[in-house]
Amino acid sequence: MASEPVKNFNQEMEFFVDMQRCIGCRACEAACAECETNGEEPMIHVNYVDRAHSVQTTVQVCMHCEDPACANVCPADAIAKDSNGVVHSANTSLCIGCSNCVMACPFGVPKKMEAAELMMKCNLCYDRTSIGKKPMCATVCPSGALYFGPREEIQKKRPHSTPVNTFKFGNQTVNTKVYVMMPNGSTELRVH
Amino acid sequence: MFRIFYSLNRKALINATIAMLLAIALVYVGSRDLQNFDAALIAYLFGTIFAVFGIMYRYSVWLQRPPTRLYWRRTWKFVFSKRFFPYLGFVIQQFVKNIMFQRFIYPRGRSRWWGHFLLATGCMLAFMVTIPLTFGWIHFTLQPGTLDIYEAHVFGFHVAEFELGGFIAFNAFHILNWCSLLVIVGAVLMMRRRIKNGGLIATQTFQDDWMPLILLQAISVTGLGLTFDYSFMQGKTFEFMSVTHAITVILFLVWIPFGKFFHIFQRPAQLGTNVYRKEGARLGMAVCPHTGHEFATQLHVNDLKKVTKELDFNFDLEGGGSHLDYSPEGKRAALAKAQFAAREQQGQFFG
Amino acid sequence: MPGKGLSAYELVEAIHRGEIKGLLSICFNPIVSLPNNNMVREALEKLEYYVAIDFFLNDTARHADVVLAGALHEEEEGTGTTAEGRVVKINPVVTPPGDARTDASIIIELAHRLGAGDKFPYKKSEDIFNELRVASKGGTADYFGITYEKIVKNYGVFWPCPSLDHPGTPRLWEDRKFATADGKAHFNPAPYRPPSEPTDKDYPVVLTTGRVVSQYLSGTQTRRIGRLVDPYPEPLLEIHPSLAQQYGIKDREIVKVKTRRGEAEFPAQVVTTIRKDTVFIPYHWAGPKSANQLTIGTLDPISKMPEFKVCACQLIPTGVQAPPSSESKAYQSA
Repeated sequence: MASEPVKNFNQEMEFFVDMQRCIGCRACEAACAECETNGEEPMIHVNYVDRAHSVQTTVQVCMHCEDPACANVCPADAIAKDSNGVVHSANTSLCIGCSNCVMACPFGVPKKMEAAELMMKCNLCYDRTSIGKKPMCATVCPSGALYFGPREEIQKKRPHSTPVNTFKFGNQTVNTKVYVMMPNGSTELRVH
Repeated sequence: MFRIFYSLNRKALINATIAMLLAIALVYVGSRDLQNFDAALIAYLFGTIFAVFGIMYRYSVWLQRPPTRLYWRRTWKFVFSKRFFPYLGFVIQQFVKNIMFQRFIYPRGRSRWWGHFLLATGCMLAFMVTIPLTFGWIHFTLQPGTLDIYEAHVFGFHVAEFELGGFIAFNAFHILNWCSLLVIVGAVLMMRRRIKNGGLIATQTFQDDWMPLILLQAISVTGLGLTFDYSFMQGKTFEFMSVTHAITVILFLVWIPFGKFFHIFQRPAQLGTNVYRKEGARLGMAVCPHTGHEFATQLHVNDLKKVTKELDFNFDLEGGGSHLDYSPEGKRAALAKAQFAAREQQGQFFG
Repeated sequence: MPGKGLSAYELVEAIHRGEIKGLLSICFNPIVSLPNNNMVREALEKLEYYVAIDFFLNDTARHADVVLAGALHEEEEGTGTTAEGRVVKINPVVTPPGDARTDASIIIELAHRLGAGDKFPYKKSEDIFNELRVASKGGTADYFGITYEKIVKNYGVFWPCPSLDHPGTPRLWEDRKFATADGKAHFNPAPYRPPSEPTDKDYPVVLTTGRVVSQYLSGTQTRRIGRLVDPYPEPLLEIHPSLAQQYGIKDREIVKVKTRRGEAEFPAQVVTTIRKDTVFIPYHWAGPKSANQLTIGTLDPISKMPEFKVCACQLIPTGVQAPPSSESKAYQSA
């Protein structure tokens, strides 16, 4: 059932996130709401990390896991990863709104739209990336927290950083399509 | 070539076979040993029996997935417990609202709801008529000694009678036409969305999104064509109309277990998840250690820990607890803090 | 050229003194944006005639005798000058809804009806810009050489641009001739001037006001947009834990903030990201949630900017926990 339209997805272009650069301006949120696949609902998350002690904000897009926990825990088979590695928003005809994915995603990405009893999530602006364009959020981020482009380009711009796509949550290792910028020499980001 | 038999799911195969045999038995019983069976519908009967088999097979395979199995078990255990009774009203209300009227689609878009509601109502009504007809459960006879009183029989029992040419008769004989009209309007609304909406254009596939709509259109148009033919064309194209209609319907039936139409059978699970959430809330909410706010039911968090383990995920933390104890916001903050700490240690936040 | 007028706050003060009796304002919401707004309200009540032009009905327009529906810049042709001094063309992409009209057409028609039509003979937006070109000729920000045609062709023109064949000045002072008497750049050390209202025994805490990311100015536009309201639906009182502890204030407890000009209640947000002697309230809201009920109307002598950033206040904890922020009340102005 994993047939998909023939598209022009550019695998040379990759997503690099440096949430530490996020200034909380929410430009990405406004841009995300323009993505035609979400129906005017922003799917990107911007929130304070710990407002009581810091003004640090963080930004979170879907990391597009190699083995997505959200799809695994979906009782309705509503979440699918395509051959480009993009993990799609729930299939609207299948999703039963159980929120399993919302709670199982180690990155806290899927959103449950309560009124519609439907899960929605970032799908890498599939309407844009599937025809070789950048995701909306990455085109507007003023601080480089969200960056979509060729790897050489980001390495030139950030010589002291290494993109990492291995995450450790306790005993669980998660590999993703989207990278997080880490200090040089890092091979993984241990969250807990 | 025989590989398919090795990869068959035994449990599902048994369930599907039982369901199929049960359906056949019901055809025998309901049609009084085929006495009331309409032989002209034999092709439709085979299609339907295959659909029963296929739907049961896929449903059984589906239920074997850990998360689905968990919900399935939780639901039935709860339904047969004492605590279910207070939820009966809620379940009925949800059924009317979300299954019969699909209200949950309305917030996703107005025309989308109209489209889906018309499609669903048309299909459901048509199923309610055609399946009993095909199975020989319903048949009509002329009342003995009259020329204009029709009798309806269900399972061979006389249940109603009506005058030919009357209001009831007109609607009873045309109900499938009304269904066709609903489906045609609904499918046009849905097709319009698929042509105009950029998001749908980017993600849709012919097989999963267009074919079901085209199939429903074809069934409805050829169905209407049958009536058109005998009403206005003296049956000149009857052969063609009945064959194309039969082909499209049988394609539809055979396709149900494989394609988008299977969601009709998955959707009722939504009722279960709503009851599960309500009952879970009664038992107690989980509080995120980061935000300090309630974010889900504790029952759900605990179940999810079990399910993820069955699926070979292990989010247990070394110091006890689990990453799954955190709310989505808590998880995002944890990631950001960890990345910030790594950056801080390096001493270089930028570049 | 007409002479120099009054700055915004001086204007309101003059109304309050009874020196100005009529007002025509465009996109002006002083009841939210100016300090000591109880005085501003008194001033507005004293006006004999007040006409407000705005694209949305703002909180101040409640005091107007006549409200005229104006236009957003998406609805009107004109120019804008960016922070880097680039004059850019603005083109309408939509027409004003209903009876709303472009601000320029409102003013021109008013002038005609008041018998001053000969001074407003403009047929189109470009005619108005051409007057600006003439008016600024020879000044520091010289627009004379900038025309609509040039702006469109060059994707914007930087001022100063003194003549039609001048390309504009993307970077100022590259010729090292500065617009001072001696042609040199001057450092202007600003002597420290203490705030006009220092803290004391009765008002021991510094109150500062400012903005939040999701709101813009007096909120006439942004308090109407759900997605901007959601992240920060109501003004909170940011307070340091040590100051909060001193008063026994808990997170989200409603605190009455009192100054010599007014008082208002805000839920506390206890954060370590603020000075221990200072509390902060964002100013974008109107009515009982307005921070500018508390602020002081003293102006900086040079810039005429009011002292929004410092005045003295006292904190009175109420012991009541604030209910969850009600997003639907965000636009409530009274």
